[in-house]
Amino acid sequence: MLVKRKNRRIGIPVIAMSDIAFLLLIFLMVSSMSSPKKSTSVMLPQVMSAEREKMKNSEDIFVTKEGKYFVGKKEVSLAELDSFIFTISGNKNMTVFVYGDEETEYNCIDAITRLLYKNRLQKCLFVTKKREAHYEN
Amino acid sequence: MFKIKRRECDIPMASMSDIAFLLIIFFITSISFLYRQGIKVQLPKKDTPPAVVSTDAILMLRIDKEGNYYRNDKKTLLEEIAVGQETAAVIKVDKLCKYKYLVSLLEYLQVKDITKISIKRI
Repeated sequence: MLVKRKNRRIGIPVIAMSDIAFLLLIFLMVSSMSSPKKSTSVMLPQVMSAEREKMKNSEDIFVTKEGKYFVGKKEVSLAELDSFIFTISGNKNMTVFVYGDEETEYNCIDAITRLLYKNRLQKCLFVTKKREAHYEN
Repeated sequence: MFKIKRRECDIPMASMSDIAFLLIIFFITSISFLYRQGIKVQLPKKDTPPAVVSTDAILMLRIDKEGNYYRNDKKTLLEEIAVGQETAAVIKVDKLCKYKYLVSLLEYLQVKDITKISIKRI
């Protein structure tokens, strides 16, 4: 007996495909915007109320709890940090974001603020993380 | 004479709303990448004379290396630092003090509207 094959039309679901394409596009756009900052392991101090500052026109300095300084992913000495701050000090509207670990000794943070003062940079932001609970000591 | 044939165009509302929502989500997420939150510090200008504030208006504070707070050399808790007429604060911070204790104090002073702050490392 001959079995007759049914000819089924195979259609590509264009609407669903365009949705997925947009999702992918958005994912790529968002992921390209996130910077490699999280590579430096820094546990930011937590605060309840913090001010927001635009990331435009800014540079980031990281300080780990061991007291090591990082500019981006690169570890730098205090002298190298000084020359880095000197190079960015041409722009007086520059804001320096200090990502200090909550366990860092104040000594290390003080060294950064002194370098900023020396290089006539006035704007600085101690980057923090939002905390939900009340003050604790 | 030609007759123009009217073709009905359907706008796929379901997929359009999908895309609209996706765009909203994208903008909401991208805003968080444009800002950083923290404690703003305006450092003094170099070669300018220091600001003069009367002694009554200054809150004298200290943080030791264990993170204990002192007001006029008397140990106190952070929440117990009462602010009256004071408009400025001098904070002496032990060089070995953990950064988080300074940040907590700066936040507390900011909430209490004390914006002129001098930090001295000891």
